[in-house]
Amino acid sequence: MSQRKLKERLSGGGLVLLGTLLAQTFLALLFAPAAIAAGNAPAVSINTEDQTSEGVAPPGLPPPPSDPRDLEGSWYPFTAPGSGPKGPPPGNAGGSNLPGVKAAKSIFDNDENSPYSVELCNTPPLFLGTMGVAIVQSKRTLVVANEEAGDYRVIALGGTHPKHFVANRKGDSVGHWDGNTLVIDAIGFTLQDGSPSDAHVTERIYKDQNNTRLNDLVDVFYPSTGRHESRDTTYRWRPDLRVSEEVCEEGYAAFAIKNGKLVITE
Amino acid sequence: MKQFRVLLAALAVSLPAGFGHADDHSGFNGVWHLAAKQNALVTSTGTAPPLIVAKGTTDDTDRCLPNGIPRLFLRGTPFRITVGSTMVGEFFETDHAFRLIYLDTPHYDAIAPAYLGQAVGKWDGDTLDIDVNQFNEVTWLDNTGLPHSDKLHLTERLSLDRAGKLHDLITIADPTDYKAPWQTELTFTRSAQTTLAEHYCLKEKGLL
Repeated sequence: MSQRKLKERLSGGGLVLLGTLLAQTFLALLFAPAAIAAGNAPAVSINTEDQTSEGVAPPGLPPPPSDPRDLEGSWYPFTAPGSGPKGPPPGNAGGSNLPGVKAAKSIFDNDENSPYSVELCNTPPLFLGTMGVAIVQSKRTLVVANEEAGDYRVIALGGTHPKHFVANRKGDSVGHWDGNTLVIDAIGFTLQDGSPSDAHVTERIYKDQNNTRLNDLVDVFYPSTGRHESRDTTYRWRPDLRVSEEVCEEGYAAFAIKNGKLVITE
Repeated sequence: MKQFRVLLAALAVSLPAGFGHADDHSGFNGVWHLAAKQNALVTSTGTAPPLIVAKGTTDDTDRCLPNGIPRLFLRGTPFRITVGSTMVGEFFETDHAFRLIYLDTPHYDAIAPAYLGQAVGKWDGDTLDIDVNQFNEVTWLDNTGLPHSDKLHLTERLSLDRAGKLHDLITIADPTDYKAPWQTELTFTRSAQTTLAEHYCLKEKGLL
């Protein structure tokens, strides 16, 4: 290579090098204020979307199972505005358990969100709860332990409803996988007064957001009226929490409601 | 060859129903109940527990407070075991109670002492070692009034035998109410029930 061509090559490379240095200097000057500000920012920023019924999820939690069909763990519902439970479903009669009320009885009257069901203290969880839930999952069974009701619900995976089933407060739940969504079919409910309900519940549970969120979409259909009720709740993975013991009956140790009247028992 | 196949089939059928695979412990899954009716806990040597305080006389379960552990096993009703990867759940017909045994994790500070305590566990081969503390002092240990204090500490070894029976070897340590730690064993068989009935005490006692 001639000296002239070598000089040309070197000067070309030098220009490239100079241009690179200038670009880097420009970019550093452009972002320096933000970098300096970040150095003074709090070490942990609060993501308000992570607000659950037990506060914001702390950083550094162990990761959830990577299998989208593994629902096991402790889950707490979101309470941040716009991300928590959507409230009572439309058409919830609320007071339909009062004596003399003739309104169509809603299965949600059995649920802990009814203003009367918690007082009566015999309300099993029909869906995932409004407080923490723990899910224990084996190959054939998924059991939801509900903190608020101090009760549990058993879902037979891949099973069918038994032919001879005695209707009860919890009904009978069977589930199957639709892709990575667990679809639960529940029938055989009775209401608080023991009368049968024709409610047919379809519940779809699936994880998203890197398996840190659990979505519970509930649809209740009443064939007798053609009416639908729905409830959607999103839960956050909280392995730092454990479902605590809630004993509704403690409140009844000193009094009870009998035939609609308050009775002191001790 | 045909005889060999018949032999293999006979061996497969003869394996007890409760004998699960050692790696997934699925043999524990299902609905269980006490093998024989039992009201009182006795020591493994058949003697009375070394109690140093009086037995209880007021049974709080009459006003629908929870039964506690191990009394829940003595109520004559079935319970379900579900073995998960991070928890083992025991779900009782009585009181609609449940006990979650968190695997391979230490105890945590409970918000308050609990009727069923706080349970953690780990697998030792095919045996589940359970450690339970943080009890309140409201419950009885059995149906005859055996008391305990809030210092109660239970350790349990849950295992299956080759006949498919479930054994719970329980060590009870409570320096306030008992002279020394003592052991008792409960034996369970599979229940004919595949589902658990509902049990709501307040309603059953006519308080609702």
